[in-house]
Amino acid sequence: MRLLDLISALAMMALIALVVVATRDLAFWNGVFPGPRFLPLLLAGTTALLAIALFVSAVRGTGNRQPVDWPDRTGLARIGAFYLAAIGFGVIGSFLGFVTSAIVFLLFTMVVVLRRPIVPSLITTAVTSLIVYVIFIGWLDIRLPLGPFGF
Amino acid sequence: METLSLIGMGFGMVLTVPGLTAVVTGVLIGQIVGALPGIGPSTGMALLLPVTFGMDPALAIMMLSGILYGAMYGGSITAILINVPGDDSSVVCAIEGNKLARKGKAGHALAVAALSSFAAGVTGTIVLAFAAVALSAVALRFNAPEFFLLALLGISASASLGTGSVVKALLMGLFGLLIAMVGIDPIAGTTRLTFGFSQLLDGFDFLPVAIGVFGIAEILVSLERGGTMQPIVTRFRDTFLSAKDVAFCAMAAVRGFIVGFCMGMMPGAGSTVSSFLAYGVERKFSRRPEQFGHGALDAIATTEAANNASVTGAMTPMLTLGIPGSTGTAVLLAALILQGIRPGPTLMTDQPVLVWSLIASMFVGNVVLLILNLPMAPIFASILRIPYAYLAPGIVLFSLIGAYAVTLSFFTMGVAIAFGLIGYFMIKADLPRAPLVLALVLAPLLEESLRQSLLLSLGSPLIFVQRPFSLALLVVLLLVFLMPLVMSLRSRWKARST
Repeated sequence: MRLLDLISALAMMALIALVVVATRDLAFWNGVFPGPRFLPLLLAGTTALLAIALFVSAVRGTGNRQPVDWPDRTGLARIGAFYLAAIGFGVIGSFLGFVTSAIVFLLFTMVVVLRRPIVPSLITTAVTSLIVYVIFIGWLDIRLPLGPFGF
Repeated sequence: METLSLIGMGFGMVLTVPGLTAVVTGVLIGQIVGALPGIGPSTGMALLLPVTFGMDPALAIMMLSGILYGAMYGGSITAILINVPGDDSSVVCAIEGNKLARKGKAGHALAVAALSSFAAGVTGTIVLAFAAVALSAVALRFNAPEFFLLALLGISASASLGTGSVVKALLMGLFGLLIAMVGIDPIAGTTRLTFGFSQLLDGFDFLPVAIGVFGIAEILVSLERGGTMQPIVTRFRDTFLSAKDVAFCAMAAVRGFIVGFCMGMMPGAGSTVSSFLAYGVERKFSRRPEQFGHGALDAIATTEAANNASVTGAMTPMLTLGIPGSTGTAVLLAALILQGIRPGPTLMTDQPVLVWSLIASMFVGNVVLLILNLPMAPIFASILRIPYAYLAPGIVLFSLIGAYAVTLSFFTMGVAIAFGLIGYFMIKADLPRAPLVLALVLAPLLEESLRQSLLLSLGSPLIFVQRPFSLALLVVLLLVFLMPLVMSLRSRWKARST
């Protein structure tokens, strides 16, 4: 947990630096009232204080000392593949359409990533894709990207 | 007496076949759009607006308002069962309700959500009927300084949203506020922290972030072990609450109602702020505060009462003064204008049939929703019987489509995916996720009201102590900050003396 606390504190410091640098061209005070940089800098200052407090407590080891429950290598590969599949859904959804892309995503995650039997996975995929189509496209008429097959 | 006869007239309009059809249709659609991530009540109402063109104005408004309060019931279902908040006011319900569902108490959680929503909905309607005009006058005395202090109070409540370190909770709140700075400056109109990306001009919407840090992140964690989580069976008798449970949740619901109704009346505050603030308040009053964050039944009671009460609260200035208190009531107001009705202070006297039918329909609609939700709770909960490995991809799919539906762009979907990974890291690093989301919701109100206040006072911070309401809020805020410090010093002193 100490390492993660250190990483969290450093990540917040990096964010503060980004905010300070990226707002340098904006006005802090416009005449008699605050400008666009006012609140970002105020927040950055307060965040810095708290990030330092977290960093110090991590270095001293006074924070939460419970070990982190990391997944094993297989678990890490599984969530990595699942996460990439979610990204892939968005990428292929733009040209194959959301329904086709949903079918690919569901089958890939159930059969390949989670190693489920093919028949229940196919049934689940069919039912879920149908629900997506009926609710979002058929009923709510939300303009989800359509593919070459018209859905 | 006159009010009672007017309500009677309203019931006369509602308890007809067209009246009941309009109410039942409205609450059913509301329930569904509330349960779907990304499709909020405002979107549902906007989608149905064209259908209402040819309808009787009173029936049209009854149906549209049914969507508004029906969505509050629906939002808690997906939040409790699959940890994906259907709408933004259900985030707290997701935090506590899903923990209960995983303990096999989904039925209990759904029943408490339905009962407290019903109680708050009906009580709010009674208050609306009898005290609307007087309450609106008070609510309108709130201005930028009061809104700033209210937002600050909400952020300070975020310290109570974690289960561990206060520093981490506040740090995550500040993280949310910093993210919220991205976009166009609300006063000057200049771009800020957009790095030249046009997609960042609108800033980060709250819902994709919530979908990412709650829905996607939780699924990633549960898939570490192969998604072998045991299916959760909920039976009908699981929805029966004991007298002890009801008594335990009743006061929480009362407190949630008070917070929700008051916040609802203030333009811009809304149901999300109400639910978070009610959660913070309840944690201070609860007899079992240690259960907060681990599945607290009273937390669900208070937040659900708050978000339902805020809907009726928002109706108060809308009906009495023609000022919308939320996005939903703004759509209702638009519907009135489309029907050729001019909203404003004379609406209640010019259109008594419409106003009192609407009020009566809210009584009927809440009863319909309770009848729908209480016996249906085990049926909704039966979704958890599906093995998790088949459920998880579907949840992620609905979450991603919901995120896309917010702005109809792949960017918001990307935000949800990115925050899924950030949320996963936050779970591992024991960083609370709710303060991040709360801060993102409150940031626009906080910044606009702070800068407007300083603009009004020509830069002088004394404006926050010169107004009676803001001074009172400042005292409350100081108490919130100082009380934990005083209590900690007192316990240390006691420990030393023993």
